[in-house]
Amino acid sequence: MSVIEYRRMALDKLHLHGYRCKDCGVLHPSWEKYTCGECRSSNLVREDLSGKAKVTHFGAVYYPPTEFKGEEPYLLAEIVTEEGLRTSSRIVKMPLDALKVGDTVQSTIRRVKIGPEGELYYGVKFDKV
Amino acid sequence: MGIKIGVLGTGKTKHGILYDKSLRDLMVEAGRKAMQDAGLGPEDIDLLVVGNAASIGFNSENNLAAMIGDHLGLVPKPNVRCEAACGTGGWAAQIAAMGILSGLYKTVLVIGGEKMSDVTTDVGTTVIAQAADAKEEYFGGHTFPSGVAMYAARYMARFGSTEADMAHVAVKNHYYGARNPDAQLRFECTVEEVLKSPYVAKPLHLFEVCPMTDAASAVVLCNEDIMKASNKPQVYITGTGVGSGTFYNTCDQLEDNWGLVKGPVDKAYEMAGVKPSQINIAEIYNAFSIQEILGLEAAGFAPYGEGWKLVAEGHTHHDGRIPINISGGVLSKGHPLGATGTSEIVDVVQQLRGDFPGVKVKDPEFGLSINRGGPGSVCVCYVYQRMA
Repeated sequence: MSVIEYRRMALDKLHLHGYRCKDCGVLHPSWEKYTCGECRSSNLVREDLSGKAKVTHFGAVYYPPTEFKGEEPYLLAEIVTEEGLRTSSRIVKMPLDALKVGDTVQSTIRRVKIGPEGELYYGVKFDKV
Repeated sequence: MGIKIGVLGTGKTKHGILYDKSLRDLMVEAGRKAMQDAGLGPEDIDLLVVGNAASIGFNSENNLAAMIGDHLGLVPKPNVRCEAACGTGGWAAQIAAMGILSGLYKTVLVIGGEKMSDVTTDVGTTVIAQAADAKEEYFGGHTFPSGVAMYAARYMARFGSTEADMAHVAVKNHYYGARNPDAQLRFECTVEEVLKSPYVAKPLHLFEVCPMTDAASAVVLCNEDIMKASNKPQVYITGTGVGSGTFYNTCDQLEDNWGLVKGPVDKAYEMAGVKPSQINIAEIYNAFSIQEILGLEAAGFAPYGEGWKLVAEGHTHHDGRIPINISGGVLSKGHPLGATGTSEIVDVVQQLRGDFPGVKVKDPEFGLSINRGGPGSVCVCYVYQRMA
């Protein structure tokens, strides 16, 4: 991702939110903002989220893409927010065996990666409460 | 609606880390082999369809169909490139099928190819991750293996299977891959060795994850009249189905992955007028062990949630109830992204013709190939029949 592209997306990256379909009521992850996957409506509105969530599944990455090299192994989890949104996220660095299904996690803004020219990218991660 | 598309010729390179061969070397080799097998020359080909998933990322090359068409002597015949992530090869054949069934073309050369070994593993992982939404869902460090690992964990939690149960998929695929002279990873392993191999993305171990691969494979497809007039074994594509799924896989539920295959495969069965119980040989996309399990369940070979038992009990071996991935599958044969779908077609057709170079299934009549791809975004299925 180029710096200018991140600049376009930064406000979204730094505020946890989803998109709710005004026709069927389903809440979608932030990237599903054009069309409701349930009813195909385009009547979606942005909705800020509290940041509280439960871990429903998780796994660890041992062979990461270039921009994450050196961070492995790191945790990724499927979480369900208290608003009912099922999404996925990086978990803030912790021992792999410290996370359990059912744990409560809270969103936080953290550095996500360092770009090829040393630029820093920030975004939302989740941390165990 | 029934269809009959002849498979007149097949060609394939070895799968592996082939440092001395470029992408064009591989695709020209496979294309020439397929034309030679079909008994045709470049002048007999009406259309070239090239399947390649990521030459821009892996090889800094673009406009690949024109390049390969030129090198094969196909100018001024039309050519086009197809890209659908790991489903690229299957989709490339679909374009050929559409052209033949419409009557617009009589013979079409389809070549799938990928050259992945010229970049390091982390760069390759990055290129592959660009087939998902690298700016949104994958922004934070997701990879294809980690997305699949998530639904492997869901499957285990829901149906009570274990890592050892899933390891049987790798054991079987490596058993057959070791006997396939074209396969990349030609070694056998035990369940214990699979479980001892390091995690790539927990709960998936290294031996349950496909390698990056250099290879190309090709088929010459033709209309029924040309096929009948040839002296080749009469192997036809008699049914096909293509479907799409969500572009975002980390939150896909098991039903999303099952349904991605179920819709197209049922459509292919219906078109061909066959039932799952009639299939004698199947190649099912299995870049990760869990995908073979979900794929065979969706194809109707085992009830939903019980596919792992079918594999563990040996029913998917070459002499079992439903032979699956006797080539070694993507896990052992290798996963040259754009060539995987065409490689499946070549392997099934060669089994039906009796000239597959590895372990042969005894006298098969009906075949099936399932080529899924992307995060969970595409699936292309074909049913084949050998006729008298």
